[in-house]
Amino acid sequence: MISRTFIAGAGQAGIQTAISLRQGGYNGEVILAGKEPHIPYQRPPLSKQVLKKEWAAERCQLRHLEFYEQHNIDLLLGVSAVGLDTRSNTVRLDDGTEWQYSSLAICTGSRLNRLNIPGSELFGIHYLRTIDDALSLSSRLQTGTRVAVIGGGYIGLEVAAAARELGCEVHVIEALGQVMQRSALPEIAGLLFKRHVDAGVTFLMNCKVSSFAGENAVESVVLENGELIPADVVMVGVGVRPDLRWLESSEIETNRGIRVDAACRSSVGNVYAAGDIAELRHHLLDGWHVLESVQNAVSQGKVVAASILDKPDCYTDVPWFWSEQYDCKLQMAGIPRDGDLHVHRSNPDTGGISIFSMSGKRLNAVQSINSPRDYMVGRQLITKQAEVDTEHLHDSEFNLKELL
Amino acid sequence: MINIIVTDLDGQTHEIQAHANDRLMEVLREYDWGVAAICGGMCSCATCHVYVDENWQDKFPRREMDEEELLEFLDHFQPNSRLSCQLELQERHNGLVVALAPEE
Repeated sequence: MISRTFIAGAGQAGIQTAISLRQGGYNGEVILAGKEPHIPYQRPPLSKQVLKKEWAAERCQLRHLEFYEQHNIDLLLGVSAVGLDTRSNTVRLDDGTEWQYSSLAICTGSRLNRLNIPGSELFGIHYLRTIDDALSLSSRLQTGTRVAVIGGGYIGLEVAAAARELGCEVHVIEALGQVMQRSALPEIAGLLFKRHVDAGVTFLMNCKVSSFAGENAVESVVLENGELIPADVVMVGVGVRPDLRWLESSEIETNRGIRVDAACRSSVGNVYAAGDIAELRHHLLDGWHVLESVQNAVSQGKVVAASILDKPDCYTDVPWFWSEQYDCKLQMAGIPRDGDLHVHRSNPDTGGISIFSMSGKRLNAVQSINSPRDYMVGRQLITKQAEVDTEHLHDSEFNLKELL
Repeated sequence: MINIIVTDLDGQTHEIQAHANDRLMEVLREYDWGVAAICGGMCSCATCHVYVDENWQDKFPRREMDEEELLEFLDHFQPNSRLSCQLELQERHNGLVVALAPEE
């Protein structure tokens, strides 16, 4: 019987699984296989510091190459998992090799939603997921470049901010009536929207794209209402979804993602999943969720390692997220529920604001712009499931420390 | 090269090396006893919390507002608390003494 954990996917969840296995004293082989040819790196700076050319690509590496040798983690780079047979405990890679495992951690993450409309293959149409995507997009952003961003979510808005800071002319085209509709409360989204408008971004809300026009390179974006938006560069940010294609013929139970329990186990005993590809239940949330965040990838990676080490842990961390756009630091913890009361709090020291999302006396979520203090208190209150008075949260004179 | 003396959460002391311009967090996360540093240096999560020895505190720029606000309500906050992602090392920090703060 071999003792080998095969980790498919070398993003944040995969690398965390490998690190936590070794930290926990795992004696078997650890193989970390990643699709990209690069030393595993973090993605958040791609749409910020890397795009703005403030960070060299190497600075995004999560660990130096020596770390993997020192910890006896075998890195296989530039390979993708393409098949899985859970009866023979074998995973097949696109280079033709097959690997047997005693435990399998699936951390292959998500894939981009791509537009499939006339002109979508033209030069100048970019997506942003990998470091190569970021460097390619970054090289096109100069003073005066006309940039059209499709999608006003996290990625779209971060790219819009970076492009404005580099002196580009920026349009954001959003199909819905609000930016960050899926993730931010309306007041928070509205403030970020205003910050972008003040910075000179032009928004086209409730607008859908029908095609791209141009000879070889894109020259304009054509909207369904017939309007033409001239553009030298287009960045499409219309979300991601768990990449389940390689698991289709396996016995692993999937829905939106791979369904896992609180110990990150899939429906097959020695197969685990973590990160963007895992669909989970959480004691603080109703129903099943796919959480696309660094925090989720790290927390679940740790839980997977604990399960493999036979010291099962439970995923209970409060989900948290952040974004940076211009001088705005957005920090969010928990997830608001329908019907929540939204309590506003201002931070006189920073000029920031926070919205606390409450069911009765229970805090479900906090979303802050430039108010790290409120965010930290909120995160702790959600963790403790403490009862709080809305008046205290609203009163900016009240010291929130008293609630902890 | 800069030498740094770090006390981990088990009370063990380690002498480690860093380069000028490294951020302390990037050096510490390479070790099994090191910091989690989940947000990767964005001053967003407070998982790289350290205590800087009193003799070394004024060798770094003071905390900016976002670092101050993330730290101030932590259970393990002390006057010499810092987020190590905000500490850029220079030659003058050779011999620096820090201790890791407990996880929240």
